[in-house]
Amino acid sequence: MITRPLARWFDDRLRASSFAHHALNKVFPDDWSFMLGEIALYSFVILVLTGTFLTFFFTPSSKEIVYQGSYAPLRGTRMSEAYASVLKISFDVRGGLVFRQMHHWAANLFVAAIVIHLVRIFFTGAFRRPRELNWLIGVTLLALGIFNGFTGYSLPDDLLSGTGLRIAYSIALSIPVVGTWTAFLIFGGEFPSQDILRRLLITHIMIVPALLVALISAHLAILWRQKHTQFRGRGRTETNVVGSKLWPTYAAKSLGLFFGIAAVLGAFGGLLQINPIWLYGPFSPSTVTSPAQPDWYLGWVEGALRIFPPWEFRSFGHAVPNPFYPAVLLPGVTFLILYAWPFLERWATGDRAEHHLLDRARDHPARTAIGAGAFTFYVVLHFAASNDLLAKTFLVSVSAVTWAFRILVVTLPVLVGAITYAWLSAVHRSEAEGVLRVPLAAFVPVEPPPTDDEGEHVEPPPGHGLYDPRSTAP
Amino acid sequence: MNRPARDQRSFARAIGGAFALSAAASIGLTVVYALGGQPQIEGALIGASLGGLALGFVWWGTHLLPQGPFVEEREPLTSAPAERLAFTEDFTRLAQETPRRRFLGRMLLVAVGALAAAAVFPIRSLGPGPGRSLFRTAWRRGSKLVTEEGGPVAVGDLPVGGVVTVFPEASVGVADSQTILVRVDPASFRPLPGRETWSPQGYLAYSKICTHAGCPVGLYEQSTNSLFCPCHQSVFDVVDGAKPVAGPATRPLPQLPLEVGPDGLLRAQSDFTEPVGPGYWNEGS
Amino acid sequence: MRRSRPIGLDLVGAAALTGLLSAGLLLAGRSTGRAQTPTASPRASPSVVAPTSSPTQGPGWSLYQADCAWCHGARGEGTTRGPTLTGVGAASADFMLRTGRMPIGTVEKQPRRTTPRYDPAQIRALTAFVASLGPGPPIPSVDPAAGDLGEGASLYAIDCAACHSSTGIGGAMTNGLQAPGLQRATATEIAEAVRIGGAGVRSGNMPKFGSDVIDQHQLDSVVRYVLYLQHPRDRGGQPLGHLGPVAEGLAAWGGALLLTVAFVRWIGKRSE
Repeated sequence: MITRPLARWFDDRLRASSFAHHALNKVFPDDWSFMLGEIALYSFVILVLTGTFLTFFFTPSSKEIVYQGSYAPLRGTRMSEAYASVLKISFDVRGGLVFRQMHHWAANLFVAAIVIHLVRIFFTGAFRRPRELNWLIGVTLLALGIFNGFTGYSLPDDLLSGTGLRIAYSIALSIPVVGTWTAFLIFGGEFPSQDILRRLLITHIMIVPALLVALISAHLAILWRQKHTQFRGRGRTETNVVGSKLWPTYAAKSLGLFFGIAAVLGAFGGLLQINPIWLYGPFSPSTVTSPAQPDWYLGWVEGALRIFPPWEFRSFGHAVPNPFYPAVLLPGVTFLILYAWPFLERWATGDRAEHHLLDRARDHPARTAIGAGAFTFYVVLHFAASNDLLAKTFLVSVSAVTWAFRILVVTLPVLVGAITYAWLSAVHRSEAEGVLRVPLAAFVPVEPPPTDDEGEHVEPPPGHGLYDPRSTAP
Repeated sequence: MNRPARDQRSFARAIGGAFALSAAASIGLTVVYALGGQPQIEGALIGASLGGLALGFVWWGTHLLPQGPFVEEREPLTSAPAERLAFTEDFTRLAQETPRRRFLGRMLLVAVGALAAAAVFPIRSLGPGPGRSLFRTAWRRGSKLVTEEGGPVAVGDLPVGGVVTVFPEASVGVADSQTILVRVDPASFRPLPGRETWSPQGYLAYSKICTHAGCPVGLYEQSTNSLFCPCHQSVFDVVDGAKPVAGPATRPLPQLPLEVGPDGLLRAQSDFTEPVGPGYWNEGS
Repeated sequence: MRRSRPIGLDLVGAAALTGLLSAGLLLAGRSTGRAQTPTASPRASPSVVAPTSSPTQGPGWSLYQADCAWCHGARGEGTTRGPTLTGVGAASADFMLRTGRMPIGTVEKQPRRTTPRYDPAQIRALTAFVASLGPGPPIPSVDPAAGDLGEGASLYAIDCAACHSSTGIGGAMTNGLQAPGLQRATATEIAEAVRIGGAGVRSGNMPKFGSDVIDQHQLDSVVRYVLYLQHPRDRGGQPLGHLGPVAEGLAAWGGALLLTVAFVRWIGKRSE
């Protein structure tokens, strides 16, 4: 067929055969939990494809016009050109609404997949040497994903997202010393400014996607170089990888995954309505709607803003206002700890060895307990962002719900962490004895400690990671 | 792992079927587009078209292709000491062979540092400085209160329990001047000290910008005389100087001093006496 | 064979605890917002109407004495259980009766919409009686077809969306009060609520919008838009209750992510 002469044409110019041959035979372990990152990767591909379509129709202009388009209830209403262009995409451009909704669902799925991928990496200890660098890149990808989601849904200049922009402006204002300058320089003046939509667009379609592509490429390149980790089991050691070959098997399944994700996002894009901006109406700085929540990946910040008590620091004509603590300090500390985690754990455990075999969650009760407690903390904050909806649904006062969350957010994570630690320690101990003597033993998968082919207990050789002069590998 | 040929043939048929379904859905998509499009049908067909491909590839990969397990050895990730040494030597040769290294290094640092400092300055062009703009709104002495449609508010316009958003006459829609005007029963409240003349005939005007994070405080509950912000659920007591009574807000909404003009229209006595909206570092100056 | 790791258990545990929290809130909600129950309750069926000529002895009066006087006083003067009806006007009475908010068996902070107890003739009679107790707002006339949908959308955004939501689903207010959803309101009920300021215990919870703020044409327009919101153009598909990002986030996790992770579990292996 055509492929052989074509392949030869390229190879004659690139000398690619050796690399290509090596690549085809690369082994990837095929545990299902190793493909969570791919959900994020392929969601990103969908984001770029659908996003490119949308950029052909979006106008990043705050100039006010009177709408005379095809959505009748807004005819005669004053709105920005940006909002009008998104109405046009939604009602007049063939396929526009499906691509717009696919794009928004893909953004939600992208960040959700990153989060559960991060959770898997964390609980299996895959961030340990030599993969600290990939962890740092991954945390950055999470932050960029959240940031780009926010800039993206603020582009249509509708009432709900405009309210969110106002809150972002106020959060910037709250930064000590440089807050007012930060807010004025980012927005181009006092809120609402004429410049912010254009700046949001450039950030959203150029600056952050460029960073994302570069970092995702680096993330994959490092993974390629270091080879993937794997769980312990028969035939698996610290010095090998067991799985299927990249070509053809892994590639076929991965391609299937891409199309599966695209299919889900396509179906959602047409069947499940998301962000119906025509119902929210155009942004106006003196109007507001309720319930007012951001997209889910900012729910933890929004929940913190709602339940943080009315405390602020004020003295001698200077103030560090209330939004600073839940919306600047909390996210800052969160990402600081995330970035620092591999090094914190290394300091705490003294473990400087290279690891290519993954932990089970029970192997590190402390790490698992801290992770479970921290996850619980952010989940509670996330649900606190719907305190008004919960109050409405369950017919209680908003204050009661808010107080319930204030109590939960400080007690539940500690409780979950303590229970997790105690239970897992008991499991770990009794596994070593070969007998399971713990509460709720029925829930624990019964498994003896992992062994290799000779039935020897598998442990990473001490001091592994230093160069072995006997090795013949290049 | 070898599968019986019979199994493989049946899977091959299934894969073919999946691809056929996908093709049919894709053709359906082109027809729907040609006819004008309909989002739900488009979504379902995209799902079917891509889902057929997905099924086909997954079945292909899991049933027709070698599953392994295959084993590949890991290479050590640290470099050989000899190689590392060779790199270090070559890399530092530049510095080693340059005379007066230290002096040149320092001058380079000075040059680059100055360039970096200069490069930061274009950021200053991004926007005006805050100046005093956060301390002022468009309200002035004698500004007429007007609604968003531009009509003035006469003293008889609002019933007790009524609410309306107002702006200064020449600045309708200006964000920082948005003000919420309510009318309460004058017998039901006592003005704060120093504000006795600010609320003629039960009219109370407060900045509509929440002092927590800046959302418009648009929810007025007349039975409890509360203003409620939907963003983070701060509650302000209208008859007690809009003091926050619940939620994360810490400062009352600034009150606009009102007076009734000889023409029966409501006017402001002056601008707000404190900065409106959320707090910032130097708000006290 | 390796099965679910404790990660899954932790997530299940977090979900279970959230469920417990919700159940706890539900139980808490049942015990707040209800005051004491009077020992007598209104008669189960309204009395037969006897025709007379005097309004104080008319069909409205009999119904009132049977079902309303216990809380609102024999002459509408009010008691500790219910507010005075003098001056509330036909609009208020009609609103409360049509939406089934009145009569209620127990004192409530905020009566909720339910099936009306009376038929239209009885409502007219009761309304006439209450109107005769003192001067008050009449039942407003409203013609949605004469309103302008675009103007209604703008007015709704400015005056109503903050409490009732841009999609009309309603929302929580302070102190356990609610801005109700507008999905079942009729044109007259909407107009009444706008003019009288909703329905609460002492006075309405909702602000009053008199004709100086919203004139007749504007009222027609805003009513027309609210009726539109009951069947809005959901061009994007299933609207997920019009709840906004909260519902969308739940669908992203419980729908899109769940489906894709299930797909991944199907494709991939479980570790031996």
